[in-house]
Amino acid sequence: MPDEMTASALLRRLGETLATLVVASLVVYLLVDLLPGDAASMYLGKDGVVDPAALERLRKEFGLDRPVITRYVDWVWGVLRGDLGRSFVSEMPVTDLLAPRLNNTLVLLGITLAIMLPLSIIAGVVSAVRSGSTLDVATQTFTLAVASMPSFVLGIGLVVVFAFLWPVLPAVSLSLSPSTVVLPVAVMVLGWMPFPTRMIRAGVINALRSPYAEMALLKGLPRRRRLVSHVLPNAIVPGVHAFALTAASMPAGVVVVEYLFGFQGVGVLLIDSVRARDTPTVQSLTLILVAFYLFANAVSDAATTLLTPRLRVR
Amino acid sequence: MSMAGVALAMAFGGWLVTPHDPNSLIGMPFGSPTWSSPLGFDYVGRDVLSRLLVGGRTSILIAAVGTAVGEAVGIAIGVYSAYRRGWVDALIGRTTDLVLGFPALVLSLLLLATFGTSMVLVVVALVVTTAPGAARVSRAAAMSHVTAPYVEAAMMRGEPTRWILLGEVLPNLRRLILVDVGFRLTTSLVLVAALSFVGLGLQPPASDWGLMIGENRLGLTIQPLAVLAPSIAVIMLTVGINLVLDQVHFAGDVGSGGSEASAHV
Repeated sequence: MPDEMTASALLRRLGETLATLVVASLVVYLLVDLLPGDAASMYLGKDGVVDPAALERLRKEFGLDRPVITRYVDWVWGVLRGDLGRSFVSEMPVTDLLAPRLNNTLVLLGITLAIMLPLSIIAGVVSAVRSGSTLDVATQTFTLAVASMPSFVLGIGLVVVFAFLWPVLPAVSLSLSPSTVVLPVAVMVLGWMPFPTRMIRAGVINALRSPYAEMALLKGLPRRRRLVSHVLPNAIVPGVHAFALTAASMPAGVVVVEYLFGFQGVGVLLIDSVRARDTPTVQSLTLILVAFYLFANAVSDAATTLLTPRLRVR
Repeated sequence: MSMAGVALAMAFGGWLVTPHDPNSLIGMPFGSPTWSSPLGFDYVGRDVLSRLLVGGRTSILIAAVGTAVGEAVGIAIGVYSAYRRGWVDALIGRTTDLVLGFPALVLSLLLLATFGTSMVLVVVALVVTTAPGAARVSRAAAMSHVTAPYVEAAMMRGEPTRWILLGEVLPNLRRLILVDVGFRLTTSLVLVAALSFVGLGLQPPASDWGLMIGENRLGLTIQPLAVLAPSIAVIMLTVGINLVLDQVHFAGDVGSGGSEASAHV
């Protein structure tokens, strides 16, 4: 049964993802644990004038007198129950700090993906079908140039044009509203689109040249039908792979774009927490971003398996 | 080619021709351009032109050193892993996958949060983010060489492993490594600029393009040149290098997908 094979391949992939996530969480925890001076001394203030007795009491309260493995297991157990610890800086539970930010970022990311995925497929297919035309050359040059720019430089360019020269949009996006998301979303779409677009273009050109595509044309299939049902399913696989690779740069893109526009999302929270060396918050955020990346990769692998019949049987 | 060239020339030759001391306060904050300061003044009143001329050097050097060391470590690990195979290879493979699982900027931020901001740490972060990718690419490339007759012949001659890898296998990977280094260098440049931009890379009062964009952007309406000049410098550098690489890429037809995406921080 091929479907059972698919299911078991997908399950194994999910297992691998979870295993990687567990190891990643261990790395995150241990790295932060290597800190010179522990959480208790950070909490009480900078080194030097700390009362040793108070330090000892706080260590006990934080449970820092226990071995690192016990603390790690406790932390993971907490994370699983939705308890991410308490911020050193605001002394709020990290979950309360995180929830509104995560919501904002997910909305921003959702809008971006909803625009970027179809747009890059359309752009890739169109420039492949018209390969060599002015439109194609223009798209290729434009995407390469945009892809080479750091997103904050691209963002500043857009701010100068659309917020100052032709002031139709706000330069900062402190809250979530239709007009404030336009520029951040535009920066991310422009930044992430080029690579998948190029991969899909290459895939479609390759598939169009193949014997089976020629055969489809010879047996009298309309070009449009051939493109949609014969060429695209094969050409989309490198595109899916490109989307997954782009997902690797998404957390970084989100961090920089949010900072640029002052958007109150997880990215700005991460930068603020790093500055304040607020380790519980940094730990949680890092874990979430790594989980996002691993999840995106697993989804892309699953999509590749479903789209490529050859891979279903292993 | 010329774009990247101008940016590099400015970054490394610029300090010779700075009209003013890049760190002295000689004008009004966000002051408009004058004859002696054609690009105006920054947020505390320093000469933008002078800061622009010295602002590329440090971050380009950091990116270059970080990439070079990371690439060297990565190649060593990758080639060795391909040569040894077996459980060593599997272990190395899993480890690189794990490190690749951390997005570069997030990994850098985690390192900086743990150990504090410093230039050495930015280099370390670059090494850690460059090495796994380089290891994976060079392992894949070395795979077809480690079983080749010339390697077997070298093993028969009793050459030490170190020499087989360095003297026999590595020269055959030259061109691929060159392209890989290029792509990772742009990634590193953008990463350093991004870290400086968010205030966690080079620290004030250093002159640095990324930092200049970050610290002057509040005055974008009053003194746009303080932001636009370093932005254009960064664009010339990264777009220029990528255009060169794009030509090399097509000329050599070396498949190395993914680098464009990861270059975009």
